[in-house]
Amino acid sequence: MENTAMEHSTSGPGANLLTPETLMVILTWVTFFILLFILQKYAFKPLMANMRNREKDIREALENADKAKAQLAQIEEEKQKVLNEAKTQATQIIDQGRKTARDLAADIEAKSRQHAQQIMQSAHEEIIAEKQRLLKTLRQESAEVAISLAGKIIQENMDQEKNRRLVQEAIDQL
Amino acid sequence: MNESFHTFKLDQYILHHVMDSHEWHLPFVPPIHLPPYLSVHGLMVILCAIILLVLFCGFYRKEERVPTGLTNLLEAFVQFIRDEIATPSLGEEEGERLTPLLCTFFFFILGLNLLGQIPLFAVATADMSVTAPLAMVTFYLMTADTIRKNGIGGFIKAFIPSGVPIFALVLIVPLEILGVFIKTFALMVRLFANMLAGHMVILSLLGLVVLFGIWGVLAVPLAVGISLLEILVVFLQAYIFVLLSAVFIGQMYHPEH
Repeated sequence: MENTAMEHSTSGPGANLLTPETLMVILTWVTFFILLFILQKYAFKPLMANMRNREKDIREALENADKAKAQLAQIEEEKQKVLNEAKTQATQIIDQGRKTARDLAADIEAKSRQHAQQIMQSAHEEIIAEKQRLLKTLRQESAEVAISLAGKIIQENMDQEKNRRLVQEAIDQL
Repeated sequence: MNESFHTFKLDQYILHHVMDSHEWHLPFVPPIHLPPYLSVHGLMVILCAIILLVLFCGFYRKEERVPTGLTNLLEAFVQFIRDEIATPSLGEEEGERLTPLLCTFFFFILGLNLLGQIPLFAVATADMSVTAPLAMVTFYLMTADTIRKNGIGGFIKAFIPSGVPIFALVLIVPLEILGVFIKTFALMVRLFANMLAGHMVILSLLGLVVLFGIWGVLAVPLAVGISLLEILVVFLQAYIFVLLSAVFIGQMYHPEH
């Protein structure tokens, strides 16, 4: 009794272990292919698409970052250039202004000096002319006084007209 | 005392544990009797499929732009299979096409192996009836799918290596044809034998406790060590199955290599 049971159990499991069982094979296939179908459709395909998209996104993002970095460097360079240009222009403008101011000042100074000289000159000339005129008037007046005095003195023997002419000639010769 | 030693047969005990049956033994409750069309290994296969479906359809979040947690973990596996296994062996286009299949192989085998590491659960991959149909899928891809892809001429070319003298072909062609079957068989046996052997070693060590009583406890740390090794083997065997499948299919798809 025990022997037969032993016999049965030794041949049973030993054989079972190495010979595929049809039912089990079919079950494995069915399970595997159902699993493959569902996972492929609902998990692996979207998952791989996701991974591809992410790879693309990351690549693009990195490229964009590089591009942005390059752009930033370019902008920085341009900024520096513009700044430098502005600085030189400012210096130029200041220099020019200073020069213009200096020129203007010199011009004004020269003009005013000239003007002053002119004024002085004309004043001088006027003074001289006035002096001449005064001298002339003085001479005439003193001549007239002398004539009238002399006339009064020698009224009798002298023609007024002739004497005046004589006196005039004498004055002119002076 | 002596009698009890004789009645306990270690080999029977081990075989009983690794072999498929229709009774699922759980502690403290009477064994669950499964219907004739469903064995314990069949139950494990279905359980694994359900876990994978829940994992990928329930927990995997497709809409995440930056994956975290479980989504990240699953994607890392898929990416590894695509970039390190499928693309190098099969090329860009075919690798992309077969990645879902190879991923299913990997997760299915890994799931079955891992289920087997849980106490009270059975390791279904230590059963020829499970590894054989899986290897047959690879066989199908190596033969019928290659004919579909390369035509019958391209398929035959895979058996005739270039640059070999005619007289040598007489010897090589039959070997190459035999090789397709040997590869499939090796694929089947490698997974089966590795998973079976691991469990047999653990059960043998634990069986020593029953055989030698208290002194057998010394074997328990060894069993723990082997169990840890098994966890490595579980991942390794799933990886090897997928890698070799991809390499074998690639050899048939691109015979010039």
